[in-house]
Amino acid sequence: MTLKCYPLVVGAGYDAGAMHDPVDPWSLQAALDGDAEAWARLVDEFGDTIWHWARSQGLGREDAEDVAQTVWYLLKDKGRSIEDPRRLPGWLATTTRRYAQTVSKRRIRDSPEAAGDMAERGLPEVDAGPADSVVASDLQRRLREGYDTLRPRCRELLSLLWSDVPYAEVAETLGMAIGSIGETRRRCLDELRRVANVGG
Amino acid sequence: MSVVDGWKDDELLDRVHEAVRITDPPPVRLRDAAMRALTWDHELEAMQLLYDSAAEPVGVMRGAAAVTARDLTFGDEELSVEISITEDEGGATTLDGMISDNTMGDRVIDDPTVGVEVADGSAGDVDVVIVQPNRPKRQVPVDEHGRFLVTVEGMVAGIVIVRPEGRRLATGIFSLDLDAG
Repeated sequence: MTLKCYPLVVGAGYDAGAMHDPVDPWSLQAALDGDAEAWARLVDEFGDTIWHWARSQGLGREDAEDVAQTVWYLLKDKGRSIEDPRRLPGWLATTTRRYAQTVSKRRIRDSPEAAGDMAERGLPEVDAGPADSVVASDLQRRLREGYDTLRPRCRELLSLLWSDVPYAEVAETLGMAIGSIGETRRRCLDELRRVANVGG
Repeated sequence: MSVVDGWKDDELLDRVHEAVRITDPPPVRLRDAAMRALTWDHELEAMQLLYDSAAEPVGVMRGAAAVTARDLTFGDEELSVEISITEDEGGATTLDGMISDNTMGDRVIDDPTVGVEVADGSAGDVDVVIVQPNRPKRQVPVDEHGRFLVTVEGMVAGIVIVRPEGRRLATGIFSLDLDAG
């Protein structure tokens, strides 16, 4: 398996100057043993990423919040089953995906008319974030709206890749051949260029 | 030519990441909730998972009204709780639990509502609390035979059992998604 450099810089909490255990780069064991600081570092490192993974599955904000909280409880309770702590990102991605899809299925079952909407548009309407959120530029809005119109598979793939999840774990999470990731990534980004009209 | 013409793939990936991050930030309260996950079972005694029907090769079907079901047993030397998770055709998920005091031995239950049956020592003098992410804790009624029945929402749950002498035991977090196992 090819591993990228660890730890992944997926959040705001990573201190690039700090020393890390190459076997347990996120101090997962300490966190599971109840070390609040280690747990907080995990939350800062992966919190936003888990949220965006859930959103990439087409969930609304409320459902994505539910899924994200569920993932943290599952990590606390099942995290010791992760034999290689370096594979934490893949475990989080897979767990997020599984429960996000569970919610999607329930939503579609409870409201069949939502099925077409979720399948065609991917994400629900871009609902407003906190009022004090950073004002997005026109270009950022176009990119976001373009991203929302991508096929769910593309959104999933891109959100894993921008989180620097190693290709091997991306392949495992999405059930695709590792050799096809590069080409699929290229096609998804080409589609994004087209729908967001950002040239290139 | 647009200023963004010529972006290479890596730069476009970074740009769309930034756009999504800025236009769709997670709720601030999500961080606090994630921190609470660390302590949900603080000062609770963990019961071991003794049985999980999802680990069996073939799924179990229970009852005419139930679409699917999963049976779990958690316990220690003194107490065990059997939980059956069912999902009806309307999508409602129900936890049907039975708590047994393993130190009491078998006894006969003679109750007109359940008939006469031999059961492990019941543990009806306990409190049961359902713990779920993103939801308030719920204490549920337990009958004199140690049985409780509760409809739940959400994707996972844990159960805390409080004994009269103050022991507080917890199951692990288990999935309510019958497909997830």
